[in-house]
Amino acid sequence: MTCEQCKNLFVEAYYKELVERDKKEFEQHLAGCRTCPAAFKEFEQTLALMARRAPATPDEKFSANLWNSLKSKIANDQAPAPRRILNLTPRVPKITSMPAWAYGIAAMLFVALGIYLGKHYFTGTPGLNKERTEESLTSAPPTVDSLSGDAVQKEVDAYLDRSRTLLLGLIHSPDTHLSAENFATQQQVSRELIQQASLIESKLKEPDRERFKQLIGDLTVILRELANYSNESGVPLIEIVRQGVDTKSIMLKINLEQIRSFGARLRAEQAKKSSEPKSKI
Amino acid sequence: MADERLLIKQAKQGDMEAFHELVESSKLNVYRLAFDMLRNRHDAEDVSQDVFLQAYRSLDKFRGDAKWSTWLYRITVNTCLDRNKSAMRKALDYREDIGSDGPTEISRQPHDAVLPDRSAESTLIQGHVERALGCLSTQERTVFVLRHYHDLSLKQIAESLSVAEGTVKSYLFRAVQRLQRELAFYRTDLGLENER
Repeated sequence: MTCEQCKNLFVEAYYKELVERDKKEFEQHLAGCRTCPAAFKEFEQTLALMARRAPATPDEKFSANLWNSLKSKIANDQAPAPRRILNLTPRVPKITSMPAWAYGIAAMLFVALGIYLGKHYFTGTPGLNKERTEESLTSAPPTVDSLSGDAVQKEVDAYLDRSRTLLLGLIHSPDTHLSAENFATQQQVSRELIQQASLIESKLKEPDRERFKQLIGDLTVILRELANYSNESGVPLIEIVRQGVDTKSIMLKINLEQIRSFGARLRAEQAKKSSEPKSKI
Repeated sequence: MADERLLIKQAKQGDMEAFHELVESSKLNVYRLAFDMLRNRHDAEDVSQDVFLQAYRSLDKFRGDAKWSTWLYRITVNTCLDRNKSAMRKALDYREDIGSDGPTEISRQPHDAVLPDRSAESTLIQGHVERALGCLSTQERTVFVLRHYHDLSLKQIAESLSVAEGTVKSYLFRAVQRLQRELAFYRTDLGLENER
């Protein structure tokens, strides 16, 4: 063993952690070396001196309070989260809690509504629209004889379509006052629609048609004002119509009824198709 | 004191009395190690509380491979390091800082810490010893304190600090060499010359 190797074992030798083999070699080297014994002695003296250091002693107060303080901290750790005693925030249902399929259905409904509105209000050229509007307004109402079964529904749809066209033309008119010719046409159409409404109402007896009756009643109120309008009142006709349409949400109701009607027709067609006997092969 | 393993088992099951016994049996050692590392009475007290709180929270993780005291020492050393993160963490990187044997910024500071209680006759020795300890780097002091004052074997220190045993031995040897140099000036005062 060299002196360097011997010095490397000073720590283990002092703390008596030398393994048996190293211990023998270490002792043999110390016995035969002139410098290492003195170095090891100095090493021992230093550590012995350091051992005379008095250990730190905590305050009595600390010793006495440690457990109580610790116990309260542990209790705080284990305590449940504080409950909110008074919650003044109104409870608003979380939109984010809706399932994914609900978003899908909502999106599809929006798209369907958009297609429907676009198809009925924003398609075609202005000229064609005008033609269509005039055709719609001047077309004769169906006769009572033709109303039977699905014919009632078709009559209702035609009446709603014609009423909507008339009202849209009025409320979106760029002029506050109508020309005399236009005003006469509008009044004529209004009277026809009122007559048509009274015919339809007489056919709508089923309980599930109450909704239509309500809508026809609202429309008739506006159409009567239009039919009986005179300039002496001082209030522009268009304003009266706009107010009536807005107050009773006429356009929304017409749209909803038309959507329902469309759905009902689709179901009827599907039912009819499914009930038809399959062709023989 | 009841069997340590039994107390730990009971404490793990939520027995606060068992944990209380464990705290009482080890609070002095934890406090002393914290004081030796931080050299400040108030910090040592705070750290002691933190150590036991952490020990309680981590009881489930204590598998019993090491001794309870070794495990606590490990928490204490880490808590002390966290407390002086900026100055000490850098210094106590055992894996990388093999070449650095100079005292840390903290240990270079004048020793104004509150010294432990001591008798009048050992005042002189205490003063020199504390000053010498203050000159050790943090890693040297930690290893030295654990071995010399807390009687952990080299292997236990290595386990506590998660370093190789050889690293511990190296730091300890350098710590003693530095102490020898620091105390050389006072050898006469300390009566060491006569013994030589």
